[in-house]
Amino acid sequence: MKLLSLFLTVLFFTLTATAQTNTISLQASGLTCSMCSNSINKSLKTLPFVESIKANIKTSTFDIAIKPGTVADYDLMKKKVEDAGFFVAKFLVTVPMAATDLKANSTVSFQDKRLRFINSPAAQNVAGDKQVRIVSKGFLSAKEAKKLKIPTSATPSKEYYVTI
Amino acid sequence: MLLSDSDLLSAGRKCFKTVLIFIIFLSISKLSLSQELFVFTEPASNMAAKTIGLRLGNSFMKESHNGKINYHLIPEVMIGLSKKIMFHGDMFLSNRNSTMVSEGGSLYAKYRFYSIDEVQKHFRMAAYGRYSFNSADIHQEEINLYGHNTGWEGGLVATQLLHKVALSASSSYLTAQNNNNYKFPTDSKGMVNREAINYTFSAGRLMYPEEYTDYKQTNINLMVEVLGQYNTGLKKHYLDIAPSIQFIINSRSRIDLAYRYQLASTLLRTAPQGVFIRLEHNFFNAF
Repeated sequence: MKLLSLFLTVLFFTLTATAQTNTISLQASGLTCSMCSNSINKSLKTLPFVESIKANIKTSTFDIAIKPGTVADYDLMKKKVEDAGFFVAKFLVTVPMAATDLKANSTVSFQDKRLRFINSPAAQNVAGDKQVRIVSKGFLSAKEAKKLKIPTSATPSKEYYVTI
Repeated sequence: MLLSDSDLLSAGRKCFKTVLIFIIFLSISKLSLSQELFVFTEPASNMAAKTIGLRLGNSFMKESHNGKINYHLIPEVMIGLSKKIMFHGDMFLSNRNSTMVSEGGSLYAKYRFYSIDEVQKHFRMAAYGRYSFNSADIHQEEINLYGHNTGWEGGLVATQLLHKVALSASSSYLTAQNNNNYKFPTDSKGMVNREAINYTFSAGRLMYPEEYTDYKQTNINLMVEVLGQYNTGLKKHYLDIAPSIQFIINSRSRIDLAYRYQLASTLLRTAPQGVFIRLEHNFFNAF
């Protein structure tokens, strides 16, 4: 019985941990050198909600684990990359989604944010943890924003254009 | 303002040689990626905001007329104020007049005003300015605000990073003033030739590692810089080439080893050639 309850407890915490998995994958543009990459890495590490960063210097990609119980501030993360002298080229967020969440131009609440889906495919089953891409101004290159026809109109604070 | 035909021809030949040497140099280095952390020039990119860098420049220049080596020691502090603005403060010490003395200092600022970035690519432009003061005797026609002359400089720099190659070009206008008690020299007609245009072209390439896996990997970069000055009053110029090798350690410290070689000069210069060694360490999120 003890063993069973221990097993259940471990299982419970494992499931909870999985559900709380909160990672952001960020790619920066404008650099190739490791010193440049390191300046972004060090800059992002100063954010209180960042638990750890796995940097891929070759692709300028940073996989950022967010501290459990905290909420990531995307604008602040973007600012940290820009302060280091570079720009955000790609910003991917893992979001738990319900099956009915995704319709074209619909919004989804996530933490303190609203995610407005654009260029969405027709309704599809999106249930589960899905990686979405933030495509608001400053979260991708201007050239790509034009190519993807991202609306240029500003969104309210904490609302972001996203694609899936 | 214009060079004479023979000057142009000779400068052209030297330029061609330089470009040829550079092309050969780049073809030898077949590996990928690049650097723009040049030794004698600054790129249009700035250091990260809230970063402080300390540098120690050591230059060993050989005097043309007697072979004596002049040692110049240049401690430097760099501050990244914001993502667009950075400053350098320098001190100039040298033993050119037998004992090691502090001769002056310099303040440098750079403002990055244009930036198009893509993954592993960028084109950037920046404006920069420098004020230097120096109390040493003035001994040459070349205007050098990095340890020899008092004066102002203002210029523009453009840098292109293209994954495998970083190229940078700059042009600046400089005007020299008197060094304390030492008047800036006049030519035989009594003309003061305080004004000059500097132009530079720099290229860099990463040799090692072939693929990045870790911030602790030492990077080895090879660079070539072409440095020129045209004195608008004297209508004289010089053109130097400066190859260098650079080691970046732990992605935060730098060792630069460079040799500056004079390709051509019609300006009087007392010690145009020599070795330059610089040590640098950066403190990220320093304030």
